[in-house]
Amino acid sequence: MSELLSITATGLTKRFGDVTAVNDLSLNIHCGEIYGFLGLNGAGKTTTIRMLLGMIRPNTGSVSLFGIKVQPSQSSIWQRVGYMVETPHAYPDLTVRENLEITRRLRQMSATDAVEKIIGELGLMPYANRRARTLSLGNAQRLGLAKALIHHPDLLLLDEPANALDPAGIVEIRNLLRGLAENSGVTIFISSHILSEVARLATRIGIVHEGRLLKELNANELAEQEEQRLAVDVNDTVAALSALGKAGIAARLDGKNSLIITDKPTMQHPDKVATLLVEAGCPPTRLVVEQRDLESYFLGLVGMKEEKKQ
Amino acid sequence: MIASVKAPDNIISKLVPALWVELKKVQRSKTLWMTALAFSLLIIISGLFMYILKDPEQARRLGILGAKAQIFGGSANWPSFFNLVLLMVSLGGLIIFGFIFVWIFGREFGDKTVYDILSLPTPRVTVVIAKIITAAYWSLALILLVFVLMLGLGAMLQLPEWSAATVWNGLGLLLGTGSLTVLICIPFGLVASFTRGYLPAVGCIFLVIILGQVISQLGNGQYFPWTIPMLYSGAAEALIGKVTAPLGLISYILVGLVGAISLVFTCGWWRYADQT
Repeated sequence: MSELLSITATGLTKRFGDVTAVNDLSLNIHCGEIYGFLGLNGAGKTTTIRMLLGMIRPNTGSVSLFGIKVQPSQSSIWQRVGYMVETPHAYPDLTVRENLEITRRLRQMSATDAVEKIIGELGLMPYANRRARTLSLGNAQRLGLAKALIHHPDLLLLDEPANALDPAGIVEIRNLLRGLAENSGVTIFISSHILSEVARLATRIGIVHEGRLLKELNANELAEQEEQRLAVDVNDTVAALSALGKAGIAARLDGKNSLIITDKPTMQHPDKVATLLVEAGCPPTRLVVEQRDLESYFLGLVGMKEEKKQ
Repeated sequence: MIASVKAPDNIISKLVPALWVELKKVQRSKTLWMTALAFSLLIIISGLFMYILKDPEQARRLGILGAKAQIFGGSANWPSFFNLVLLMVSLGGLIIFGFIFVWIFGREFGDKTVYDILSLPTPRVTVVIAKIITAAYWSLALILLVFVLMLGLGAMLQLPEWSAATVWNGLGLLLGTGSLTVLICIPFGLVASFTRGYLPAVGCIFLVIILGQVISQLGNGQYFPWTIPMLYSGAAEALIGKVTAPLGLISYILVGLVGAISLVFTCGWWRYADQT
């Protein structure tokens, strides 16, 4: 059982004074999964990752990695885990190569060529002899990923890894992570506040808000959330709602002059809705089929008002 | 997946890489050269005093500097030079060694690299022990630098009363003073860890110096660990004739306790405290 699950977190709660950062959060992440941990800033993502890494002790609950409970006496467990917590930092006076050599030695690795290999894999060769203080934010991020990957971990915990990367870098890292999961069976736990980024990569997503895990979805369920709707603006919403109701079309008010229709057959014939409203004496001033995106779904789920489509 | 990761057999095999890492960080830092420069300046100033004392005419021409040189003793010879250097080391050592401990621990928080050393196969306690060994090694290397520099300066000044006994005795006192100072500086590493930075710990160094002055004036310096290295060196007594109570076993026990307790607390803090 233990080797089927990379991460088992049970009832994690962490309080800082009066603030409950994480509240009764449980996770079961299977080996080989790419798990996207999604939440707004301050939702409890970083605190959760630090609890998974044993950096913060939960007030209640426990964490096991590969069936071994995370606790101070179990340092050998980290041989199988790579991680990057928030913005990566490195020893500024040391070069990229020296920073990676430090990681190699602290990871008790015998392979002396590991540093050169990871420099090559992460495209850091042009910067290998540059001091870390001179690196751009994007290359510093690459160095952070190199430190997380140098020992070819079975589990990778990444906190906002796309931060500071340019679009090409984001695609490159995404492909690298996908390759690790597909070819090497690496379990990846990746936190982000950018749903579209996580959605492109993750096989499963957990949405966390105010310290609680609100919902978990697999990739197919997530795709289904990209629903359509028909938005209609009229001057007389009362008359329009009445006319639509008489025609058997369900609509709801969304703002002062807008109606929303989510009935699928109706959405396929917006022309009929327009004709109906014109005949009822309340012609539409705007009529559009909208694609409800994942961000809207996410914001709706965490209780925030959706941005009205233009 | 982890074929290239070996499982170390014992604590030494985990400590050796951690020591390599700490020494590498020190080697590449400017702080190493700053501390060496600071100690060198102290010794050069001591040599300058000897030069002035050796030539009274020159001392008179220099005015106030010559007058101050007289305060530290009346003659330019090897025993006086050793006493002056011991005084400098016992005073400056608390500040410079203290700063070394603060830097070694505080830099991980200042550079935000602390998260990189928390969840590794090398246990956190091993990292802490490697840091303390590195700080001690660095501090005692500075003592040896002091010794070599003062031998060179003393030879250049052709100071009288050279004897092997004086040199060995001086070296022993330097190393003894340095070792006691290292022990009383471990708490500054704990403060730097606990407060996650440099400034509060540096403040603590100056606080104990002020407290040490007050407690010494009250005649209880032998019970305050941060004044004991200076009393041990005997430099103040030899140079300015200030009579102090002899150090008893309790003084050494107090210094040892400060070192041991702060070591345990530092290891415990790194192992158990939340790293937010």
